[in-house]
Amino acid sequence: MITLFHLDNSRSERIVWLMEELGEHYEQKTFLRNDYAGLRDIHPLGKAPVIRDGEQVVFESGAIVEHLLRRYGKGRLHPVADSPEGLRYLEFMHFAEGSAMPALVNVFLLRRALGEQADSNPMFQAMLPRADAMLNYLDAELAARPYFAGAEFTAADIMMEFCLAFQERVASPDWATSHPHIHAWLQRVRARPAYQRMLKVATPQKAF
Amino acid sequence: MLTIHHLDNSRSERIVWLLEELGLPYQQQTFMRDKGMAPAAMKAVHPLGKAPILSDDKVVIMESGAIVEYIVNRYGNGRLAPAVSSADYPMYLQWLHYAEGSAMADLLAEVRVRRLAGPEGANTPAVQMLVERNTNAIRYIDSVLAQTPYLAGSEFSAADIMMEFNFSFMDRLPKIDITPYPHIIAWLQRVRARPAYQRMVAVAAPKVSF
Repeated sequence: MITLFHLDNSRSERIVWLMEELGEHYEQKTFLRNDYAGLRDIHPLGKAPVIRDGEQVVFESGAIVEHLLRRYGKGRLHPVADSPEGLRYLEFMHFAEGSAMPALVNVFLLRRALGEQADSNPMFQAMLPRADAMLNYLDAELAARPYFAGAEFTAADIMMEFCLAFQERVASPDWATSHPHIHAWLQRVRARPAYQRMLKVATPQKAF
Repeated sequence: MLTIHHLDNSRSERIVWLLEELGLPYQQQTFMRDKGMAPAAMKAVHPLGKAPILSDDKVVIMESGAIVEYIVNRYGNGRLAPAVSSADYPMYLQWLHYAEGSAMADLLAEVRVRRLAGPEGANTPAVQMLVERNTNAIRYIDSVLAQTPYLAGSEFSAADIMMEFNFSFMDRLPKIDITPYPHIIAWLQRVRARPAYQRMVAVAAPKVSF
């Protein structure tokens, strides 16, 4: 039995989406942002996503996705390893949390902390162009191919979608229109029935 | 030919260490920081211009965790990772993703927020929340190392290489105190005693401190 511990309005929605793509049965327990200390009973790090798969507890988004694909994926959502697609898959599976989220979250948190002083703060002024350059890079990647790994949808798209959904939630809902290939890709991946099913059970209940 | 494009005093030293562990022939191109950041010249290697970047002949790979997996899977011959079917494999994967996906980001957040808050702001909720999160994480890591000599289990693996840098980083910047954590201290001594680590230090120790 797979149990997914989901934090409302957070990156753990990716795992819900993945499970819907795989069509495997799972249980979901949702914690709200004002009451999630209970996550520490599941795993000492107390963060989401975290899953229980039988006796095994697995944390960290990318590792959870890889674990679930290995056990239940039957080769789906994962390119052949020794290929250009396999390499891009590997990059974006790590990039989503290793680089993209930090860049975007930093800008968001600093802007929120500094308010009007953000524009004159050297730290913020160093971070903003790097986040912009990162987003332009992602747009260029999606100009070159329909999905992050290549011609096919993979779990790397699931990992990356949340980063760009986060940007929409904190920047503006139409933020992506300034990055046309990201915009087109978002519409493409969100049209998937599994994504729609994820929304039914994991739409954010409370905004940030 | 494998080339590691290394930024002085940065996380790309992990890749140098990994290459030394595997005894692979490689070239190292070292870039020096420009006002503390990666220099513009790195963008000639990869559009994002951030270290580490690995080239394997014409193939260029970004992102620490991806580079580590690429090297281990392609050239490792079973070394530095548990077997995919082993019970240790999920833990190995967790550390590979966690090192950059959560741990470094949380450490850097504390560093930045402390800097913003200034010394007077050290006890503000914003700082303390991050301190608590990082303390909890370090406590967790210590508890894992109380059970096993290495992060993924009984054998040294690339998971230890990924996570060692996080502690090295804590040491280079003000400062998270790990003296209360004996298992982490023992593990650091153990992994840093490895000849490959020493060879990495010989070729990639920071030339310029932060």
